[in-house]
Formats: sequence, C-alpha cells, structure tokens
Amino acid sequence: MTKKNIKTLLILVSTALLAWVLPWLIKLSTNEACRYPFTYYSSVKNEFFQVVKEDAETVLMDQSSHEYTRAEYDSLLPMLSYRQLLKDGRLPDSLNGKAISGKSIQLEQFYFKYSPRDKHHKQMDLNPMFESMSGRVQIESPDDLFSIKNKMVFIDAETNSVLENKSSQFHQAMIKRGYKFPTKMVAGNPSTKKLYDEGWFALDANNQLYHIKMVNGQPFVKDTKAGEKLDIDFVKTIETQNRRMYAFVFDRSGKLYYLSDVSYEPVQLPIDAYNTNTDGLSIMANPFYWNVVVTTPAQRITYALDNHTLEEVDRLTETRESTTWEKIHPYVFPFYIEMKSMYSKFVYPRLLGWSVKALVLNAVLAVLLAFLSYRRKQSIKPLQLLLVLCTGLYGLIALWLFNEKQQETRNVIQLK
Amino acid sequence: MTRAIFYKEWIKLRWLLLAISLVFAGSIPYFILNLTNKFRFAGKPHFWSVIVGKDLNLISELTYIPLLAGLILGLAQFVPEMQKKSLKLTLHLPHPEKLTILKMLLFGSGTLVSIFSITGLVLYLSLSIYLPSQILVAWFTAALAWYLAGLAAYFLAVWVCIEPVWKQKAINTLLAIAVIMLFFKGTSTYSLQYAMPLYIGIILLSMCFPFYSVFRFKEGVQQ
Amino acid sequence: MAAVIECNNITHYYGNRLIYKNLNFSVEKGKILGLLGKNGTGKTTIINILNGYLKPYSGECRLLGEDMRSLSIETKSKVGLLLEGHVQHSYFNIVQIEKFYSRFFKDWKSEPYWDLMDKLKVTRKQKISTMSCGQRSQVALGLILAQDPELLILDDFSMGLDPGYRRLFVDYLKEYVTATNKTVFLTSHIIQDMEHLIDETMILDYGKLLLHKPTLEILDNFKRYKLSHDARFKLDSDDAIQNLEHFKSHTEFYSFDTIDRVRQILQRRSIDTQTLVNESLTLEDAFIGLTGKY
Repeated sequence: MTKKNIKTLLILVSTALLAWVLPWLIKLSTNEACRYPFTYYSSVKNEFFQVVKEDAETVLMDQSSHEYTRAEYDSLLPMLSYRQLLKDGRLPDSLNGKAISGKSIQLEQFYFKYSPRDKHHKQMDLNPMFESMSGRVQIESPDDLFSIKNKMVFIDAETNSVLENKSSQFHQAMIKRGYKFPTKMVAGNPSTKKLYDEGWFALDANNQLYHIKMVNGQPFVKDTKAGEKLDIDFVKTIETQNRRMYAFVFDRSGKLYYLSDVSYEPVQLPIDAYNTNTDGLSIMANPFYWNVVVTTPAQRITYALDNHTLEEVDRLTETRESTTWEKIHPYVFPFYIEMKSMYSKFVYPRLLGWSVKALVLNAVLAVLLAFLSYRRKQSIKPLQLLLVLCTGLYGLIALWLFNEKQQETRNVIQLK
Repeated sequence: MTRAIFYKEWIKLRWLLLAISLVFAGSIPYFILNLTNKFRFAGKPHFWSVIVGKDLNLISELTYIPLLAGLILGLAQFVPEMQKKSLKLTLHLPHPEKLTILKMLLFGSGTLVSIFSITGLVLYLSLSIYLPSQILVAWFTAALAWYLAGLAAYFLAVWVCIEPVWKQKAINTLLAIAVIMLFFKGTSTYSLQYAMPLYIGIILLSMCFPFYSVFRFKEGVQQ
Repeated sequence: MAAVIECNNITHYYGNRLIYKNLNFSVEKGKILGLLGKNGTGKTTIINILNGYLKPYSGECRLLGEDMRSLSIETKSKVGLLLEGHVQHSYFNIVQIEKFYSRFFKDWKSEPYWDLMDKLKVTRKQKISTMSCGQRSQVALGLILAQDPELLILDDFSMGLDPGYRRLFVDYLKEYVTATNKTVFLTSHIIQDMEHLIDETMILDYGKLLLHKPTLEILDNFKRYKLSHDARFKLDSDDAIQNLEHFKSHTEFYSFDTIDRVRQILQRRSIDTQTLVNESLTLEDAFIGLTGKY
C-alpha cells in the first residue's frame, strides 16, 4: 500500500461520488416536474377531454382545444361527476341508450393503479388471513398473521408463537393442491376497509398462481391454472362492486390480463406491450368505458376500451417533452449515477445515461489538463488523461481535489 | 507491541468507550419499554398489523446513533494525536509505522464493531420475545446500514482528522459527508438490502484513506 | 570517528520561500551539538528532516548511517526524540506512560526515569495533561533516558521552562551524556546555560548556516571590539569584521580575528585605531554578535 496507490483509489472514489452528486445538484437546480394533464373519455361526446392548467386556472378542453365551463365539465363527463350531477338533479336517466343511475354507475366503476415500485420493493412476509365468509358487514382483523415464504405459518400476536394446528392445516391444504414452496410472490389487500375479502393470490416456486383464503375457518386453496396459460410476472388484486374480476396479471411478454370471476379465466386487455419495470398504469372504469392510462418513460397513451367487449374505442398518445436535464446531460456527462429510482424502492447505484456525445467535452477537458500540466511544468500523466477522457468533468474535478501543490522532489518518504 | 498499542488506545478511550457502550446498552430497555407500551395501548394483534401494514420500524430512533458513535470515537482517538503533532511520537516508535496506524485503527473499529454487534444481538434477542423474526429481520436489515455507517464514519473521521492541510481537510470532509449520505437513503425497511455490498466496499476502501493522511503528515505537507 | 548525523546538500523551500540551500553538516559520536537560531530560521525543520517527518526539496541526511527517508526500526530505537514543547501522550499518568514505552525498547532502563520522577512533586496517578510545563519536560526527559538511545534529538527543550527547570534539565543531561558517551543534537532559541552544555555550536540565519564551530573556539576567539569614536566605514561581504554598529560616542563590531589583525584591517581603511579595545563574550553575546539584534 503506497501513497500513490491510495491516492489513485481516492481519485477513483471521488470520481464515482461526483458522478452521483454533480448530476443530482444539477437536477435539483433545474427541477422540472413533468405532468400530463388529466384525461378522461367522455361518454357523451365520445372523445377525450383534458383538464389543462392555464395560469393557475384549470380549464376543460376537448381535442380541438375548445374550452368548457365548470358546469359543462360535469355534464360532459357524467361518469366522473355523477355524484355532483345527482346532487344537482342533473344526472340523465339514460345515456347512449342505456339506463343509468347512481347505483348502476357505482357497480361498474373501479379504479386500479400499478407503479413499477409495486414490483420493485420488498415487504415483511406477514399478512392477515381474513375470514372471507364471516357473514358480517365489517371485515374483522385476525389475532394472527401468516408467513408464506418457505412454508405456511400462522403466528399468534398475543403469544408470539406459531399456531401449529392452523399452520399445518393450511400448509397441508396447499401441498395437497400441488403448491410448491418457496413462494415467489403473494398478492392481496390487507385492509379491513375493503368491500369484501377474497384472500390472497400466491405465485409458487413453479410459477403457478394459487388462490388461498379462509372460509369458515377452513383453508380454501385453488390452483387458478392461470400459471399454465401465462408466464406470470406480477399480480395485483382488486375488489370491484360487481365482482367481475379478482386481479390484474402482467405476464413476461408485456401483456396485461385480468383474472375473471369465471373460473379465473385470464382476459387480455388490448393495449400495446407493457413493461412492468418502467411503465405506470391506471385504469378508471365506468359502465361505458375503461380509461386505461399507460405512462412509459417517453410517452403516455390513454386508451378508451369498451366496458363490455374491452375493444379499443379510441386512444390518445402524448409524448413527453424532454427536461432541461435530459437535454444537456448527454453533452456534459458521459454517464451518471443514481442511488434511487422512480421505478424502484430499492437503493443501489445505477449507472445511467451513457452518452458518446460527452466524449467531445471530455477530450477538450483532457487537452486542458495536459495544457495546465505543461504550464505548471508538471509531467503529463497518460493515466490522468485517460481518466478525464472516460469520465470527463467528474475525473477532472477529482484530480483537482487531490492535486498536491508541493514541489515535486526526488525525495520520497517511505512508511514502513 | 500490539498489546502496548492497544494499551495506549485503551487508556485514551476507555471512558468514551464506556459511555458509548452505556448509550447502546441503555437503548435496549428503552426500545423494549417503548414496544410493550405501544402493545398495551393498541393491543398486540392490532399493533402487529400496524407494524406490517405501515412498514413501521420501532428501532428507527437508532438511525444516527452509530454514526455519531463512530464519528466521536474517530475524533477522540486521533485529535489527541494531532495536538502539537504528537503523532510524531507514535510514528517514531520502533515499530513499523503502517502497522502502528493499522493497529490503532483496528482497536477503534474493533471496539466499535464489538459494541455494535453485542448490543445489536442482545436487542434482537430481547425483541424476539415479543416479535416474530419476519418483523425483526426487516428492522435489522435497515439497522445494518446504520451500523455500517458508523463504521465508515469512524474511518472517514480519522482520515479527515490526520490530514495536515486545512484546505484538504475541508475537501475530505465534503467527500466524507457525501459518502455518509449514501448510507441514509433508505425509505422503507428493506430498501437498502441491495446496497449492503456497496456499503461493505465503502468501508474497506475508507480503511485505506487514513493512511493517505499519514503519508502526507509524514512528508510534512504544508500549505 | 564515524558521523552519527550527516546531512548533505539539504535544500528546502516552504512554498517559494527558501529556508536553506545546500546545507551540509555532520555530528560526530559523543558530541553535544547545539543548533541555535532565531525563531523561524528552520531549526525545527532540520529536526523534522532528520527524523523523516519532512520531505526536503533535495539533499539527504543519514542518521547512524541510515537514510532518513526510511529509518529502520533498529535505528529508531537508538534515537531518542524530544518534540518541541516536551509533547507526550497527555492522557497517561507517569506509571502508564512508562509501562507503554517500556514494551517497545529492548534495553529499557526504568531507574533513571524513576530517579527523575521522584524529584518531581507529582503523584503517580496524576495525568500528564494536568502537569506544569516543567514537570512535563522532566517526564519527557526521563523517558528518553530510560530508552537509553545512542543519539538524543531535542527540539527546543528550553521552551517554556523556568530557570530552575532549565538548569535541572541541562545539568541532568550533561551528567548523563558525559557518563555514557551519547551524542546529542539539540536546538534552542534561548542561549543562556547553553555554553556549559554544548560542545559544538551551529548557528542558523535566514536562508543559510552562519557558522559551525566548537563552542570553545567561539568563546576563545570571537570578540567584541570597540572604538571610542564614531568611525564610518563599509563592510565587505567576506570581511573579517562583522555586525558593525554605530553609537553616538563609539563604534562596535565583532570579529574572530586577533586584535593585531583587526588593527591592520582598520588601518588599511585609514581608521584611527588608538582607542581599539576588545572584550570576551558569553555565547549569548556571541550569538547576537553574529546574527544581529534584529
């Protein structure tokens, strides 16, 4: 371990730190949040309407940029504003030849949301198993929680001990149905404030999707067979008033399905290829249309799907404008490091934004370094130039941080 | 001679080490009382659900304590060495210089690791009376990053402390702050689990940094 | 006799400020060499270079025959080092610090240390940090004596000591060194008491080594001359006459030369030498004569 070695180490570590800190500071100073306007498909006009912010005032606009008043807004988007319309007594009895009421709208309405962060994060392996047929309106919280990773175990909170009987009952039921531990993922809603309970959907070691719930204190385990039909990537459950579906399922080929109430049959949504690692999804359904919004890093596509046939009725594609940071970084930095990501809750260094264009600046900086060394009568060091050529500003600043001004001498002091 | 070096560090740091140990040992009954209190008010089953549902970490008050401990220990160990440059006395000992510094660092980091691991283990075992491993593993995954931050802070503090030139001290401090910030980026209990290799790498690297300062000290670098 | 310390062509700068250029000197075994100089002339710098705590711009020093840039453990154990201000690990008490150092040296001798400690009015449990400067100097000295090194390097040992402790330090050191044939290299900016101690004197001035001579030679030969009138003349750079000062009623200067030779020099400049007298000097007077008051 010589001084030179440690100095090299320090310069490299500083270069990496700067590749994280510098872009972060720049992003902070040019902070621009990109927001798409709220978009909803009007079942009256049969076209997309958008809520646009203009000088702190929100305006409703159609696709030909015609503006509407607040009162018009409600009646143009009755499925969104039906409660206001009901209150005002303005809700029509029928729409597009279909009788509507507050109740019927509510029945067909649901909201679903998926973010890549749902997939890229880890929770404690403990969940409540509710009684699905309690016969009571309110779902009751159990006194135990279950762990499903390596085997099915119920742990009693009062005594902090495993409930042997219940555990083995469930575990055996799962094994009997062909369930293979360890569990890959479990999906469900641990809230007691939901409409009804359908227990949990668990993906086993063989990528088979099982439905597990507790009915009258007994285990209910069923292979949904969805795993045979799809290569399942991610599952997120949902409760809807009409109990039309159990969950949304993303497969690894970029398709999106819902698991229908009819023997867990997967029903595909006619949307373009979906990437669970980068794309956000939200679905706003009403008796006429599903507004399916897919936000990719580059664009947003809003689909209007027919509620019954799920065929695409209309779509609106909006591309995102690049932020200042996105415009400049390819020319300034050859790459940058982020510890956090909007797509994941996990923290670790990510090397992003590789750009060949920055080599131009890097070359200029390398020449500058050579020139400065020459002027200071210091020897030009090829490795330093290489560092600057590869890492640009990061490397140059790091070199400057550990530049020793003392005259270069022939004398070296050694540590023993 | 290792014993003599350890003896010197022990005489220098024993009261501080006792104080640090007391803080960490004292945190154990505190966390247990805190937990049992919450159990009493909310009921165990309900509170378990809250912990799981809200990703609650009841030992999160520990977050910056190891960091402080590492920082203070590093400074307490090497500020006396820098007063009137008495590190010269240490380096003048008839003992290989790098080995002398390494043994001093080993004493500091070793005691720190011992305090962290012993009190951490006792805390884990005590809490496991009340909570299942599924919760505790999550909590201590988060806490591991805090403990590692304390260890990194120790080496970085020594690095900054021995550096003889004030301008370079300031630069080192800024870099050290940036490094330490990496350890506190977690938002949920498990969010740092993939960062652990990075943290261990940082600690191994930062172990080398103090030697750079010693080299500069030895050369008598001045502004 | 082999040189214990040998420095060749040491040149050093702080930034652009030259401290010295091509400094050469050596110290022989059994000698006590005093490096004297005003504040900021680079006394401590030499000590640092000798011990390898400073990288000089160029040149090399050898300590006990070994290059100062990489002193071996054996050599280090033969060199006793007293830092400026008698710095020692101040969190120890006198028992602990003796215990600590004794483990590092094969030939550790506790008796001289405890002899010295018994003279101090400190308890065994008293921390060094609570001691007076004088007491600390005795602890530092005691440790060096116990180490029993061949070469003692003492940086500004007189700093902060009252006359009693300074005398104690000097007497103890002189007795010890004479009895054991040790070599000592010391620096000081207080010259009092020094003439009893040092065999050789080196005087540093800003940027150069003014003189390196046996102390006795300086005391015997270096004289102050007086002319009882104000004689105006100019000095050459290599003049035998040094440090000319004019007063209202007389003129003073210094020289290593005999009074006859000085008279000749003055007469060559047609200066009246009837009133010329000389007087012997203490080392302190000689130091001022050589370096000036400013």
